[in-house]
Amino acid sequence: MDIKAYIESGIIECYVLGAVSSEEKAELEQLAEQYPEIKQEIEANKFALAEYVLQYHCEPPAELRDKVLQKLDELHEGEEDYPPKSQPKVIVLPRSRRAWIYPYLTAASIILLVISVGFDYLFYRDWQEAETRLMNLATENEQLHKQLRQMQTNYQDALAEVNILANKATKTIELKGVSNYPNAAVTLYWNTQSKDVHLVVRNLPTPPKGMQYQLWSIEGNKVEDAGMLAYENNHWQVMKMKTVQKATVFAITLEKSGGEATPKGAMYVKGEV
Amino acid sequence: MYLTGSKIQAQEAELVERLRQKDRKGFAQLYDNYGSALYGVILKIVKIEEVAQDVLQDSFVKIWKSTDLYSRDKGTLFTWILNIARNTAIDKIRSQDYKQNYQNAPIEAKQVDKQANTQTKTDHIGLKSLIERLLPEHQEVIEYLYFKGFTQSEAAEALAIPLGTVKTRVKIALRELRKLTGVPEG
Repeated sequence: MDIKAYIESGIIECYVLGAVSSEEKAELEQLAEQYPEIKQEIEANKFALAEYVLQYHCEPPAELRDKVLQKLDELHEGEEDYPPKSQPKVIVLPRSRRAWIYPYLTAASIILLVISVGFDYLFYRDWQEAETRLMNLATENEQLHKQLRQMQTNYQDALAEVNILANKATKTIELKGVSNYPNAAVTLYWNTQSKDVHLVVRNLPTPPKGMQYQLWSIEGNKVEDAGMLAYENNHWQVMKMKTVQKATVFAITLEKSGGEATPKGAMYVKGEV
Repeated sequence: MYLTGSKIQAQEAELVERLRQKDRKGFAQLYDNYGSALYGVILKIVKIEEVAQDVLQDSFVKIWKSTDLYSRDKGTLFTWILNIARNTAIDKIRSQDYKQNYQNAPIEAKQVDKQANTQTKTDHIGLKSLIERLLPEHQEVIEYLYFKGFTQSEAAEALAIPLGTVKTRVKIALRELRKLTGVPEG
């Protein structure tokens, strides 16, 4: 089961707001037992929501406190014999001959109490430390996961590029930044047999919202669209573009999302074959 | 004051133990700690003070009866009792009794405007305007699902937006809240 997709689906948020069907609720609670990530998500959302609804807190009328507690007392009475109905008899015990032992017993019990409180404190402190360490480890673990995902992406990109380069028919064309964008750089791989074109972006400014870079192949006076550059998840992947049969120059311009039939926007990089 | 932290968790564990033993002092403490938080949510749902008082009492009875069902697995003690209070309040507004006596009556006069003030009260430093810091469209989905007890499709219909949009808004609303309250992202 794809836990990430499940978490992303938004069902947990609906659950926390009390707006899922009983089947969905049962399923979710069962999954939470199996997958700690899901449980953690539920808790985090419950917590944030609790903070939100706390904003509505409102002091109930003072007399309600006694009413509520009294009601609970009544429930108690219904159960067993609470509070004890008959008054306990007080029996005065004759002072026994061993009365001398009581002060010692008292002293001993006080000493034991002090020791026990001391241990309580120590255990409590240890427990607190363990809790903090656990929290830190959880954070660290999460960071490592993020790094791992990043590495995987980088590795896949590199692998894709190596595969293209390994092909003898591949021709490498460096598209260099033009006047206003001297630092822009894109590498284009053109397979002279299959005519496949791949792009690896080295450096291009992040495209503004609603805009996309477009690749053009130029042969004499003929300028043809060679595909749009996909910028996804803040990342440039190795991109396969349209196949290009003939070209002497490649260039990239910034256009409206979806592209144009002929270049209209500013040119960023250009390279000759 | 309701934030996490191991110290509070330790106090909470102690309180839970007292509640399990049906200790009167434990319930008094629970009331003192969380009574106003629960009452606020209940009042927001049922809107009428006298009903809210009954619902608060019923909620405490339910908590009293189900303390054995609570475990740390179910979240913090507070989120657990909050859920009980919210559900009891939602059951109330769906009841025949409530519908007949209050829903159609001109209740505006009886409704409380205390809460209008509590929203801007400042004893949660830094979270003062948490509600206002959410976009109205996000406040709205929380309002319909959590405080009115609508299902997702009922909310979609009431707000005249597609079901998918309800889901998306709920997701973003909670994500925003987590950001605003400092609950870490998953």
